[in-house]
Amino acid sequence: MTRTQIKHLLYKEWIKTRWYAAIGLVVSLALSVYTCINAVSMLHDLGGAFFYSTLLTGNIALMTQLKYLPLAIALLIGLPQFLPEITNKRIRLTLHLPVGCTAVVYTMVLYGLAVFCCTLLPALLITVITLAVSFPAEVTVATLQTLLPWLLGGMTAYFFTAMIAFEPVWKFRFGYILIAYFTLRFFYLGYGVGNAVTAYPLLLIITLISSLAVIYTSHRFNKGEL
Amino acid sequence: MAKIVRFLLILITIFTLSFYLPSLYQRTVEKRPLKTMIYFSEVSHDFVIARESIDSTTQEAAMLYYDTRGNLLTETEYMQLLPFNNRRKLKLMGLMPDSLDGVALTTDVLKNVKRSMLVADRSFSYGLAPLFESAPERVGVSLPDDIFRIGKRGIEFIDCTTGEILPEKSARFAQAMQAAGFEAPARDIYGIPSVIKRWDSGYFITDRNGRLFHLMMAKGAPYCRHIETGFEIKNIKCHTDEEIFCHIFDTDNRLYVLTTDYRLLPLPIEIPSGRCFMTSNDFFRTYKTSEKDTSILFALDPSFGFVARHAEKIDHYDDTREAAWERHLFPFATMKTPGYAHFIPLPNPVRDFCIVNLMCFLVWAAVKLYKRRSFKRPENMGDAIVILLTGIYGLIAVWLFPNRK
Repeated sequence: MTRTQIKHLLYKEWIKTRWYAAIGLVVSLALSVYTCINAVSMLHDLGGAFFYSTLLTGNIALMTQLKYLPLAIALLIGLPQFLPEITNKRIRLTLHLPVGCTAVVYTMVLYGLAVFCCTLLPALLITVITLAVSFPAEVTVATLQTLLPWLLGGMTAYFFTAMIAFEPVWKFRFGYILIAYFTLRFFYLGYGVGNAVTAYPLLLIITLISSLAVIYTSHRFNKGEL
Repeated sequence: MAKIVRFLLILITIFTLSFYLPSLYQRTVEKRPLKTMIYFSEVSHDFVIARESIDSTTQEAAMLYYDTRGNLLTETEYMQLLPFNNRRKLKLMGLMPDSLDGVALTTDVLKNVKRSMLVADRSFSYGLAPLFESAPERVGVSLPDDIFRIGKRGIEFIDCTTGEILPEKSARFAQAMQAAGFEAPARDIYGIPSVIKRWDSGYFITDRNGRLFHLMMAKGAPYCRHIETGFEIKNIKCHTDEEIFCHIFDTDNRLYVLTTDYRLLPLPIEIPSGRCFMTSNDFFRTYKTSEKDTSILFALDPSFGFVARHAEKIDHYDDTREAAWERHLFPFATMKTPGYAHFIPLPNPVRDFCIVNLMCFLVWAAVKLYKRRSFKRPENMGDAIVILLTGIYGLIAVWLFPNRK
């Protein structure tokens, strides 16, 4: 795959997703700013001593408003990126380029992943900086540990979107939607603050395997499985 | 590559199904278990059993009460045997005794009942805590303006409002802890970080080497004392109690109690599950635990000497016909632990599920034969092994992720 071909492919993806990525960026920035203001104002309104007493006894948790943000961003980028490709099976044109099927598919997926990360990065930076400035390191680390499964859940949702989009047969597509839904629930189980740390290896394995899933369905699509 | 990815997707699907399908099945078929409760009577010094039964004529559930010899008790007899549990009703009925074993049953004695859940497994803690004044001038506990942590640099007090470290207080407490032999950082901090308690008993802290220390603040001054344990600490549950500071679990789920005069007493009870419910009053302390289908109650005297033990079989889902079908249908189920999340597969006996697994394999093989597919292809042989091992999960996963023709 030449550099020019990659550039052209990326430009095509950019045209499809740019407005949705922009909306995602605005939404994630707005939500993270709101969440940070909410956390800091809670500290001031309740008073430092009462705030920490409530936090340490587990009656409040910080940044929970961000729980489904990565999932929403993943769908916001993944659906407009892949839905036009599966409408009337337009993706066939791309897959019949004189380059490897996997290379084409992965250029698209990695582009989407990069956009997903770029959309969430400013929101994540705002959150980390606010936490680091306003709260002790113990609270910052525990809150970020709680955020990580949600971020991985967002990534996995994006990879599953790509996998489902490339599946050529509707009955299997429906089955994959069910499996994706139930697998994604592992990232959003009520772990509680800090308790998800021991589930990281499992969640990472699921994310890694889901990142490869598109190889299977795109292979089926390319070989004309019906 | 696509074949390897397919195999990995099959594994994820099997894992997901093993987590959701058995619980979905249970929720669909499980009937409410009938309650069985064991109590220890302060009056008869014997156990009282309350068992829910279904009336065969009306089909309504009703509680029946028995003593350990199986004699049926009336509800009034049952209440009279347990005056602490039925305080209000007995007073209304005028049946509350004035004294018990020569001790007057005053309001203070009757209200001095403590209940607490003791769990051996540790769950997440921030590693921050407010150090309360343990010897206040006014009764009660008030919130301090700072919280402490014990990192590599020793104890540090952080101002709650500004987030700044208070150097003078930190140095004063660090010095006292060092003098007591504490080696930073702390492994764990145990205590009650809330003001909803009658008084404060400070914190129990394990240091870098797992040694136990008691830290308190009395009239603004640090108080730190080393407590010799002789075992590795797994978890500590602190109480606000005149006689005991806390219950301590060791790594073998043995339970100890630390009295307020710093005596560490091993309790003569066994709780392999690492979970029990403690109830105490001025006369007895009871610890209720459960094994698979048995509820066990240990009764101890106020000085933690063994008094009696009673086990009662309880109505449990595992003993039902639905549970037997579940063991036939699913080769294993995956569960998530409370607290720190661990996903644990719980395998069923092979003799239970082998027939269903074999049937799943035969269904798969029949479809392959009908479609004239070769069994010798490596991916088909792999599918066969997956279905034979994981039964219904494997069959669904293999069907969802088919091989190319």
